[in-house]
Amino acid sequence: MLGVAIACGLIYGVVVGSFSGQSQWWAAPIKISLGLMISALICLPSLYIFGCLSGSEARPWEMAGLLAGLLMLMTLLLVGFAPVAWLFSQSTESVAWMGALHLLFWLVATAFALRFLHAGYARFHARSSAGLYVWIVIFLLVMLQMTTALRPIVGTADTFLPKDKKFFLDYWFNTMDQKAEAKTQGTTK
Amino acid sequence: MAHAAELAVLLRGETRAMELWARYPDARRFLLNAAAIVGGAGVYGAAMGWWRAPEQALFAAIKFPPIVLLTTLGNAVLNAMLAPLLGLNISFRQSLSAVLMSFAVAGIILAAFSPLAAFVVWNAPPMTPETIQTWSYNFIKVTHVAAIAFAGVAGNVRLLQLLVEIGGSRQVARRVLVAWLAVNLFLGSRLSWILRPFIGAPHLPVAFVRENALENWSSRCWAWRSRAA
Repeated sequence: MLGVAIACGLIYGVVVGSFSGQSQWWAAPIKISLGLMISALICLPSLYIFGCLSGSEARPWEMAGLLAGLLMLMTLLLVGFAPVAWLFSQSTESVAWMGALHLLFWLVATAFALRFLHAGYARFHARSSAGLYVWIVIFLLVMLQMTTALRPIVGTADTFLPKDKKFFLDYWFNTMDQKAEAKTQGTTK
Repeated sequence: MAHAAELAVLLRGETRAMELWARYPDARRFLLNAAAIVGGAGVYGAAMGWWRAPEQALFAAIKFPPIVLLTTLGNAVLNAMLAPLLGLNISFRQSLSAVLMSFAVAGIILAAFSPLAAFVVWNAPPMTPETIQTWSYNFIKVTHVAAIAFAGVAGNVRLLQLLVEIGGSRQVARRVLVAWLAVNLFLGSRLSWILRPFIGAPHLPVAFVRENALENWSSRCWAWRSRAA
């Protein structure tokens, strides 16, 4: 399952990298696959703990299997979105628009993958899903932050990884502010 | 594997098994719970101190487990006396066993949260005097407080379930738990104050303990209050 998830992540990454070309052809696939795996690794212990606290009888490797299944389903769905993403990436030059589109595809894929996780979680006799919902919020935040920690994924930069550290909301607001400022300057000229 | 399964029983709150372990404590289980506390608090401590400097991570990893262990020990001694007065007849060994189990749950949760805490710190800008004016500093502090509070609450929920099972009365269990929590609060906060810093501060050097470690905690609180007024 992890092998399929990595392969699908690499395929979708090539499509993401096709927007900027050059070094992004290889950098984006690596960052997407690596980011997904690291996010899963960071969140696996807390998934197991929340499971146990909810009364789930799952063993650690069973939780790891559930998480691997989630990643596989998510990346398979992303590959399904890849032709649409490629078409848009060839017909626009806006990094913000492409970023938003990839985020939308990722959200849809993640929503379906989380449904799978929820169904699997219930099979381990968990008394409540509250812990799982908390974990889902943590997992989404970690993955969103990973996109900022490994930036740029859609656009380009001089270095493989960013020089300064930022939280994802901070980064998004800064990027949007810069875009708005550039637009205003362009209009006044 | 058997050890991991026993710790999972604690996390799931299987009160029948926990009651047996509390009633008939043995050295192996004491060591297992203590190891969970040392490991969990140690790795979380490292994640806390890492933002300031790698040395601070090492110092916090060394200091955090003794705070939890000493609080556990102090609590067990005091509450072996308090619990019978509040209606729960347990010995020192049983009291120690119950408190150890509760803190072991907290320790395992902290261990599971430590990769998340380390990830937050890895994504934070370097700790400088300017950074502590930004929301990043407050966010990191709130994250640590939330993680430690969650671990503590989960541990105490399991302890309450265990006390109900041992005493057979929810009312008595609640009274004993409140007494234990009060001891935890005073002993834990005092020990943390003496052994500070954990996260560290950019304008102060990296240190195992501050030079004024034994300065009165309550007088400092009073000074803060007066300054705020």
